[in-house]
Amino acid sequence: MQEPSGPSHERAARIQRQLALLAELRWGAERAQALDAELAATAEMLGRLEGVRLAPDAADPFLTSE
Amino acid sequence: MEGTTDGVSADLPYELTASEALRAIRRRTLGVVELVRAVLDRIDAIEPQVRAWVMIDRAGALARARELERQFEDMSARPLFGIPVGLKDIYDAQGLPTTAGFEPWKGRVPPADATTVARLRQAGAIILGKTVTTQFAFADPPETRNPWNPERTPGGSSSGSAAAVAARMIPLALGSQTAGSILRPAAYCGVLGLKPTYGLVSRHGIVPLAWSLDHPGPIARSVEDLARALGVLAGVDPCDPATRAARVGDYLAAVRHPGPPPVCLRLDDFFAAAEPPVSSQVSDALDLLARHGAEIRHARLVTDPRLVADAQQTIMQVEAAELHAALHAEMADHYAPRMRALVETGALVPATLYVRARRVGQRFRAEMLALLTDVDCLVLPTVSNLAPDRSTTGDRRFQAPWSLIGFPALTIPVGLVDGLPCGLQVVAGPWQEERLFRIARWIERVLPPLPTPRLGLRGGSVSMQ
Repeated sequence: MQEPSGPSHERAARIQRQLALLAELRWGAERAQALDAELAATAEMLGRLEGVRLAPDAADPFLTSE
Repeated sequence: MEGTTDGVSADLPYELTASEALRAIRRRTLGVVELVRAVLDRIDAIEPQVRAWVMIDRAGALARARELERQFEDMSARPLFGIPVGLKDIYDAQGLPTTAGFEPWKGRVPPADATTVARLRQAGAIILGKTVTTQFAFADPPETRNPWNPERTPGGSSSGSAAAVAARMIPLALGSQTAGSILRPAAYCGVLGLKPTYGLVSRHGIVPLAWSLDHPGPIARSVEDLARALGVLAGVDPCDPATRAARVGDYLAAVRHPGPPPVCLRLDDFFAAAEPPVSSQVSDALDLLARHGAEIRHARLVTDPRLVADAQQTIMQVEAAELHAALHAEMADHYAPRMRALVETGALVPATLYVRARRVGQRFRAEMLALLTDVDCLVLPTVSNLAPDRSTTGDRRFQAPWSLIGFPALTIPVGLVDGLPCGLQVVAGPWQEERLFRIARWIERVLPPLPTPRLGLRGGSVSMQ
């Protein structure tokens, strides 16, 4: 498994914009604003996960757990 | 009142571990009613300082104690005969409210016991009451104080269970862990905690937080007590499909035969990431174990530990959002701030990244299985820091990896730093609880025990010799 790569701050910023938009649609503008710090933290975390490159695996253990 | 053969005076029965109390009851040097009364008196004396309990079933516990004293001939088959137990307030116990720290659930009384609670009763345990949990077992700070310093958090989410055991209000309590909610409060409060293999202990009748990460488990003051409790709790439960492959061992036998000094793999990344006093204290403990014959090897992780924590957090967020969708839609304003934010952000996470998090977890699991091939266990600090102030429940990054991959992990106190406890975390492969108990018992014999916290006073320090 490769480690996170690429411009992670750009990924996090893009994801944060996506999350903010979704939050406003889902929870309304007031709640979206109240969630601002949590959305930023979540975006950073998701940005790191998005940057991971996993080798394709036809028998991925997660997807074949049953 | 006589002293016990465990070398502990039974003048203060609340100081006894569960196994010590059981032996005293068996010898008839301690009565079950006497033990329950001693524990209740202790709670009356110090609960205002600790705030570990949501409710105490005083009448029910005493009635059960009297009933057990009339069934003394049955005690040999009941491994927790007469032992008072506290339940984190997410476990259903028939007749007692389960609130999960959620105000609208204050009058919610379940019709039946959780599977674990039924097993405790069958084993002769006395359900004393419900201990404080953070709301829905997440991370909003509880009202409970750390018995070592009331300005510090006891950790969470099993806050009341850990604080009550540490403060000698109860010898044994149940907690639950989705990220670090058994091991972290146990370490912050200076007691022992076990997060068993995922699927070894039934979750039926326990308020869930995240299906694929939730682990019930015990908190106590000795390895033997953890083993005794797990022997009662573990096993297949038709009501919880995750337990269908449960492999149960003879845990008490493992504790009685600890075996040779273990080969431990020290995960250096976690020592580097811990605050220096914690890293130093846990390293000193490992040095002491090495001087007694343990072999300490070193390893660096391939997978970035931060990424592992990200994967656990993502899965927890998404599963909590799905679990709480209906309740949140009706009662969002009753949610505590962090729990509400968890649910509301979790609902926005792309499905692809949830799957990515699961795949990262599987690869971390494979890496840890490979590391465990040539050693008995992995070792690391239980928490990165000493118990912080009460605005938080602490740092879950060092416990979350083992919740993510479902491996059993146990914390054991290794001393005090600035009057606050520090824990060593020992991790074994899946279903290797017997091995984990053998190792932990060996460690327990080598390390100096912590004193009882002096409530209202700052603790001293215990050095490694």
